[in-house]
Amino acid sequence: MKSWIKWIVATIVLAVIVHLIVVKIYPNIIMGAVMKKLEKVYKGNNRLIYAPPTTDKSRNVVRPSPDLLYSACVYDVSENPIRITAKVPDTYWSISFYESNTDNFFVKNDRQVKSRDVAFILVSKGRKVPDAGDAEVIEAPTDKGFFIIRMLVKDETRINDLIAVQKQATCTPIK
Amino acid sequence: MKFVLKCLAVLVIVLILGIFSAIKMVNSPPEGAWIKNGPWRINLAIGSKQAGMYARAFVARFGLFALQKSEAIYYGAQTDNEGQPLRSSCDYRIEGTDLDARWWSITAYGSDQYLIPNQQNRWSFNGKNVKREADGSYVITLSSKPKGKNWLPSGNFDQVYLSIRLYNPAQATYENPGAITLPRIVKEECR
Repeated sequence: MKSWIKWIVATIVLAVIVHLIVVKIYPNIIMGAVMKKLEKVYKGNNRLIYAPPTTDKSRNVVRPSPDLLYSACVYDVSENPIRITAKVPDTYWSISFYESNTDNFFVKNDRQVKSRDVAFILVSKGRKVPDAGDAEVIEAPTDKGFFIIRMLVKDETRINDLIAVQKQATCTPIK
Repeated sequence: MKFVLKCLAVLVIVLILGIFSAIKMVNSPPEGAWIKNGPWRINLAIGSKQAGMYARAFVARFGLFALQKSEAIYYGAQTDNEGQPLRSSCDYRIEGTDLDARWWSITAYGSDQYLIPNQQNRWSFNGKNVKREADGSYVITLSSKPKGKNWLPSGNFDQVYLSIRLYNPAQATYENPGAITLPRIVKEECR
């Protein structure tokens, strides 16, 4: 093979490899940037963020839904599991967990929970929780990630009632 | 020395080609990655483990924290029914009927992927707040100026995006997402 053909083939092969690597790591980069930003604004992880009603000023995450009231948390279960509790309102509600590559690995909504007071324990993969009690134990595929609680704002005039429910949710490391 | 220069040239070309082609593919995935339904596009693998790396990258760019399909599905549109890009300089009629889900909404986003600022604080319509015609259907007007009884402000963007969210959709939607009846997006006047 002529020398210049070898160079062209090598360039194309390497460009394809770079292309695939960039596409592959892109979600982790975006997710990492969002988590870092929120950790900085809210001073750490494993803390629930009670987002105000969604408006055009909601600019932490792209394409938010203006019909939802969000609570969110950057989790880190590398050292300790976390316990999440929440009150489920009389409207659409869901809790969803995301791993560091943006995959939504667990979701449960208000029609799937057994009571209006729910509890979850998020634990690092392979670890045991000695006493979970009534809490549902969820294994996190990655030690760091994100979870979101969504509540549908059916009636804007009752937003304060929904905010009161939102603020009953907790996220606490189990030590 | 010549060899080193060649290597440096290859490295620069590799990085430019690799990174720019990746960005292009993330911003505009191939048509084959989507199920089409008129101007709307959907990928049911979004949010799940089954998502391919391009779908996952697309979600990170345009819909971070999307839910898996068991909970919600998302249709997106960036063109009207004629295939022309949605722009703030034109008005559009979004004509539809109720969508078969526990809850549905249609939301407009600017080219920055955020809600479009407007004095009415109107960023979406859903099955509960949309005003209906006598036959139960609805017409939403996407426009930069007040228009119609369901005015969805489009701000001042070269590209506007629409998103339909279906929470807990009917089984038929999962079975044939390309065939369910979705709103038409009809261009009216342009300025």
